[in-house]
Amino acid sequence: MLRQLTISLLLICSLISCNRTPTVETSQEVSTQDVVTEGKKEFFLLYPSSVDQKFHPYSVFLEENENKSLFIKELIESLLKEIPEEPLSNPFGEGSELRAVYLLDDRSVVLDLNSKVVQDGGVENEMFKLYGIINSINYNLPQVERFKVIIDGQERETFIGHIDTSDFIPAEKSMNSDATK
Amino acid sequence: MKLEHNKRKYIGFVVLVYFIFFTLSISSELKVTTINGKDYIDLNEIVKTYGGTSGKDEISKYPFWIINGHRVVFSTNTPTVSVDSKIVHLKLTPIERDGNLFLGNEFLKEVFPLLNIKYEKVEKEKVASNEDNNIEQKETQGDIVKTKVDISYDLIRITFEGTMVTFSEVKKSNNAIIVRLPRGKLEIKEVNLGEGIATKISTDSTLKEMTVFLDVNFKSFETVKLKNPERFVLLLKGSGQKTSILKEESKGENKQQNFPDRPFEKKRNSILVVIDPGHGGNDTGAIAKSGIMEKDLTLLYSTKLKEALEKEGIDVILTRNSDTFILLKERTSIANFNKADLFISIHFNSSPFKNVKGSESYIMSKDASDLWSKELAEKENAQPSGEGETKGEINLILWNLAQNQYLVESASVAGELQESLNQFFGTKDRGVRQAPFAVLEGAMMPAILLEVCFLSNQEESLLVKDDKFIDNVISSIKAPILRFKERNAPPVNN
Ligand SMILES: [Zn+2]
Repeated sequence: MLRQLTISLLLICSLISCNRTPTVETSQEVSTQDVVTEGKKEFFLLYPSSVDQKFHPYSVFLEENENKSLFIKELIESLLKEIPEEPLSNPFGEGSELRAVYLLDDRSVVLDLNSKVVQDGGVENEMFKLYGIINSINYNLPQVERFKVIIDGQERETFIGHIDTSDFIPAEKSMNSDATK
Repeated sequence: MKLEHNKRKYIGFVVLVYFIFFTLSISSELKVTTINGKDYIDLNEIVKTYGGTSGKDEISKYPFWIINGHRVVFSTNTPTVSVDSKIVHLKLTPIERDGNLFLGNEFLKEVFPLLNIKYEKVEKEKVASNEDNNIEQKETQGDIVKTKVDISYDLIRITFEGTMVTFSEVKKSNNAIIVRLPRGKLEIKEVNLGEGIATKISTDSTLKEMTVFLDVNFKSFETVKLKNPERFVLLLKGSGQKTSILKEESKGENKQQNFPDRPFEKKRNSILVVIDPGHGGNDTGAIAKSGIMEKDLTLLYSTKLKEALEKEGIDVILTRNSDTFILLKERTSIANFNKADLFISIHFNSSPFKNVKGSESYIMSKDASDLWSKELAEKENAQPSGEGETKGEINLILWNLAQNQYLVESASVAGELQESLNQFFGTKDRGVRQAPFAVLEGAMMPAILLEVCFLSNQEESLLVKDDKFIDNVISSIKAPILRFKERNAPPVNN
């Protein structure tokens, strides 16, 4: 009986102390996250080539950011808008955007894209877009290997009618040309 | 005796005091704010009460809350939050006002169980803050448990996905298995399963309880709990024998053409090919400049291929024979249920490179299969009960791994198809390509996704409706299937 009473009182006390907790302090995570190294570094975007329909590296200079989410955002925004020289091509249509990146742990990322990205059907279009994004991230950050893609914040059974995006998927390395090795 | 009675009274009193104190202390903190006629709670209030730290994500500028080792990221554009690796859909989009974030009431119910916070606390808060019961009713309506039914040869897999589904109760009676959810509501109401292992799935009026009616071939069942996303899998195993009883009364009205009571009876010396005309209904697939839609071409070519193969004595089932959309997993289930020997999904391609032409064959991704296999092995509570289950059954715990064991054969048939079509188109071999195609994942037989030609190529898009072109393509596809038949059909005298 005494034990039960003690437990109840302890619970009540813990609740009171919880309620009195001062408003949130700035999280440590935020203060250590935002470290930007001076200068730019060479990274590679993967674009498909009309010669072999495989991904080839295309060099860009980006700010090296220790915050992986920020870096992924910068990398993919660059992938969506760059216009590489032939025979490479940018498969993304106008208005394609990356809405958000959720880095869940060191190896898993959720990418929230807008619906313009998933406009044109056909497997080859679908693979060039989906794996252009996924393989580019994995190429520059090999430790990131699980990708979940959502569109306008919503999960979808497939990306554009064929490839399963209901679960996490890895980079499809068979699509990378020898030039990426 | 009297002492015992007093003791109980005293305990009751303490519990009551605790309850009142508890509810009042929370309700005084968790104030409900009404915005546009809807109830919201300030994230600051939640953090004050439950602890943790909040801030703004540097990249998305989305607010986050770190609590009990979990990271919750809120979107202010969509009714979505991410909790670690799980995306949770909310009923209301969070609203930012004067630097504060307001979350719809249902957030507490949806997300708290994932953060190891008991949401009963919040329920009590609701009572104390005199909210009417309607609100609670509305909230549970949004708490849907996704339910999928997959049928394979000798196995039925029912997957429940949603918060706390792994705490579901399972009971077996003489002729039924009953699954009761701890929270949320079932998405489906009734599914007809034909006959064999089970005849039908039905749900009670509260949509909390599912009953699976067992049939003569039912042998055993097992349950598997999976994480990320949280899933509860009920596997019903059959005895491996084809049922000989045809129940007239089980012939349902809503039965799909391809889900008859019994699997297709193959000719003794033949094979069964399931041809899947890609897309259909609202899903048009790729569209050529001329306006021709992939979904119409896939149906046309699949029908022609069916006729051609039947002339050669091969049994064929189409997954659709009209302009309707069928779920991708259902297409594979049709092949599994009918014990098909080969599954071919027919498509037409589209590329940003307008000069690219010819055929392409695709099979399941090795990389994706490897990742999923690794994850299945890693899942600490993926615990099939171990009594003599086959590799196929284990693979079916994750539906997307079923195709894994047929990859070599799939690659070989795809390679032959590719070679035959390359000869016709005069294109060089680009090899069989791989990706995690939703329509191939659950197939328990060699499965190929064939892209006939490119609608984005002007020359080919003008030819696709030409009779001679169609005949040539069909002959090119038919030849390797005939060779597959020679290798796989049982001998006549058997
Ligand atoms: Zn298609």
